Amino acid sequence: MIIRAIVIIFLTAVLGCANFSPKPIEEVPFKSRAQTQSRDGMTVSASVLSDDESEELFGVNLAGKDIQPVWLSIKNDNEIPCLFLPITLDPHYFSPNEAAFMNHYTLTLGGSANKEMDKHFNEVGMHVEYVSAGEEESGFVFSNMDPGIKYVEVTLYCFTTIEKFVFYFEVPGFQGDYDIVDWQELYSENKFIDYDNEEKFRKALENLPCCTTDEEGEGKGYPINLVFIGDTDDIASAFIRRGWDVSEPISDDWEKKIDLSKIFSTARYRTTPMSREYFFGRSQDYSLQKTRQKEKGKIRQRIELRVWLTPIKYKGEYVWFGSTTRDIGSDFTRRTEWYVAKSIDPEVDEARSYLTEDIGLSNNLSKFGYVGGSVASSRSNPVRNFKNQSWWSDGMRAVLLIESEPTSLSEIEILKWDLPGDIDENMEF
Amino acid sequence: MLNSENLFRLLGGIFLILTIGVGSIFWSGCASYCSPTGQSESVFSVETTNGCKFYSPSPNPTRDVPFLLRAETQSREGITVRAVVLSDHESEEIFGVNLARGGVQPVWLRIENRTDTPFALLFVAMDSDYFTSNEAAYMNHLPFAFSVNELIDQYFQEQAIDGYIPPGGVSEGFVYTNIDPGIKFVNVTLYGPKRIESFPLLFEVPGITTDYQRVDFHRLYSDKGIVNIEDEEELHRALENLPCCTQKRDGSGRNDPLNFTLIGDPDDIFPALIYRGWDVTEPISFRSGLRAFKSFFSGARYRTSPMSSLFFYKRSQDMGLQKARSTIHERNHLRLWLSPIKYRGKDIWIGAISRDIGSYFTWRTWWGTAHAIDPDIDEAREYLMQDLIFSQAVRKVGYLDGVGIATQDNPHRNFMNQPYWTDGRRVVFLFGSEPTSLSDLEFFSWEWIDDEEAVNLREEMRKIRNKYKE
Repeated sequence: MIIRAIVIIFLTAVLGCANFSPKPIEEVPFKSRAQTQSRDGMTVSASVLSDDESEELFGVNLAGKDIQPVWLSIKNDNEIPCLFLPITLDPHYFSPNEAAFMNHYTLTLGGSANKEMDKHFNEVGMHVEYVSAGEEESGFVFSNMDPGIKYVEVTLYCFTTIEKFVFYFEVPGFQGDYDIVDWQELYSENKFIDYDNEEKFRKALENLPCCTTDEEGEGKGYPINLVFIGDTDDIASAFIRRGWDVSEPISDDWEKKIDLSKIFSTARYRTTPMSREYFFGRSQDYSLQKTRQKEKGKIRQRIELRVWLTPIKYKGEYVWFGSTTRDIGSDFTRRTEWYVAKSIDPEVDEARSYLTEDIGLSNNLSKFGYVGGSVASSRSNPVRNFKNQSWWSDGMRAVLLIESEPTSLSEIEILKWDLPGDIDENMEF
Repeated sequence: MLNSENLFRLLGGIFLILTIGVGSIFWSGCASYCSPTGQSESVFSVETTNGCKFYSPSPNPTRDVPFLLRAETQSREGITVRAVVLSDHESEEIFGVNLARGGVQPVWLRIENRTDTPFALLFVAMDSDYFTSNEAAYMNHLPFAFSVNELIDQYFQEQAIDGYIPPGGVSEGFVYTNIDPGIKFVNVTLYGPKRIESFPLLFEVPGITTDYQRVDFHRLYSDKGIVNIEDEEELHRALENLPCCTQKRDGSGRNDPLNFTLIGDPDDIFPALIYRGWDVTEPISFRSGLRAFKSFFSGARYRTSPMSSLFFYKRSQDMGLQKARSTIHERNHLRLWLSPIKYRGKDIWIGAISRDIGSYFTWRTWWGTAHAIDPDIDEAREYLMQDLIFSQAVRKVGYLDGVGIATQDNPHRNFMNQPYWTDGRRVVFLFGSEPTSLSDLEFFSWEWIDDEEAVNLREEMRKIRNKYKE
């Protein structure tokens, strides 16, 4: 604290009085990326600012405080006024004065720069907005930083109806591991095998190899314990809505690997690159993760999911293979440069059932079932993978059919295939 | 040269040396792992050469530790759910390690299925970040003590609940959830064939004292002192005529505004607030003060940190609730006073809500800092409005005057000399015992947020309502 205070005093003395000079809104071209949706007389446009854009527009480094402004414009062509409720966009949104206060200059002469900042944030900030009939309201909501893909939900309460507009934004400047995959090159269109018959499809899934491998295609890594059927966007949106994050590509560049900003920012940590696992002779096509970190600098546990596109289609829909594991901490080994590797929950089925429940609650799961094909093993006789970690599993793969149409939890259809563990096969589910 | 690459290597080296150093200290200090209960009959205890017992958890938790006394039970359509949330002390006694330090709070469940279909417990619906048994065990592993760690894993596994409940079967055990201080909301959701059964339960977790425990609510007012109002207009007048703001202890002065009112039975109001993530508050004491002091400087999150006293009805708040964001400096907090007025037999609570946006230096407190509030004080009130209408517990909302308008150019000042401005409105929530969806929410026909809109809106609403009636 004292050192910080001295540094600040010193800097202020050297640099003189702080100057608040945001750029006018017209000069920052973020609106060109805006997405617009119209329904029942309501039109909503939204855009998520990049870190640089928010620094230009607000004159201070908002990203450094994990604030991510979302620009909204709401037009009401109905005869009934509507209330915009920012709480659904982010239950812990920052008020304009709060976002400004967090970025106040510590020592300024006369404090006029801070006053200007407050004024600016209040002018462009959005609260619970009252959008009268025929009017248009626009401004920024100061939300918590989401790295990678940001899910924006705009709820308008029009007293007799509730209108919900849902947007997904790739945060500008972010590069995901899926961006460096050449999707056209993976399989040529006529290489896909399309199954229409449920029994044949099930056989095909059972016959695929059990596990991921090392780079040469040797050994056992983690089990392939998930099969997704569905459109890329539907799968991604179901995961994002349940709080999963996309991942950055792993880089061989030493410096990039330990980016200091990732160590100190809670939000950035969420898209940390994931190690490569191999299947179909290639590393995963994309990786998703759900980090569990309640406080800055506390427990860094996560659930990892690696996904590969398969050359299989089921009734015209793409089929994906996934391998999910739960990281429960770090383990001392000498495998990596850092002498620290993730330790996985050896009971890998836990991660599979977590994911199944989580996606079930996203309301996008329409069917699910289980199919064999992975290795059955037990605590007393575990699989030891080539990284010398042991795990055990009932050898089942969960098959999830994901659709864009919402399905409530009680309406999910269960495929009458295999059932895991001690569930009686004759049970009428 | 100290370029960035070398710097990283250097940091890595320091990190390694530190880890090895700290690790060996832990290793030599084995005594610190001795179990607090020290039950010698435990099958899990390991005798080492120096007689230090490494790990001895409770062999039969439900018998050894009397937590079942607090169990809550709910039954519906052939399913019976019994649950208890363990206190930090109890979980240490049972598991033989300090689970609370890692943020784990075990919840004991017993689910009895008397139907003829199987059910599965949805862990994610109970806590979307729950810990698996291996994970909870891993956090409490001892460095380099492999055989003991295996025993810890095994014990945690055995105590975990099996999420699959066969027809006619019973499942019993612990779910490792994230810690919630004070009051915990536990939602037991069971998934069966084409059927979802939900059992919401609320627990007061022992271990911390809360501010409302000091208040004897039955003694606050005598029966004669309570006024019951039946008429809506009369209620409007009564609430509008209340003082604008909290006061000094003697009832003079104007501090933070009293900007909201909750009407309803305690059983309808407080579960809704807990469900929306509000935490209870500890009274100012030496222990809570020390913790608040520490987190003030470290910026850590302290979800039940004490609040300063504001005065109304010549007493400090009966209850404080708060919703913390990432640090102790940023939170929404509200204070509540039970009033001597009732509306159709239901309690009326008068409240003041504001948003802490950070801290600053001041001469007004002896410790030299204070929390800055958002001067746009209505912002916090509107947050509460959104939060409560999404809880589905509120049946009717209304706005009325009573606080007095203060503009940005001519703000009011509270006792800390912090300015605030407001449109002068007080928001009123009437809670119901049945869930109310947003589209069924009703409004008191009093004022509206925006004056110009008020008349128009009321006209529109009347038209719409008539349309629906036709």
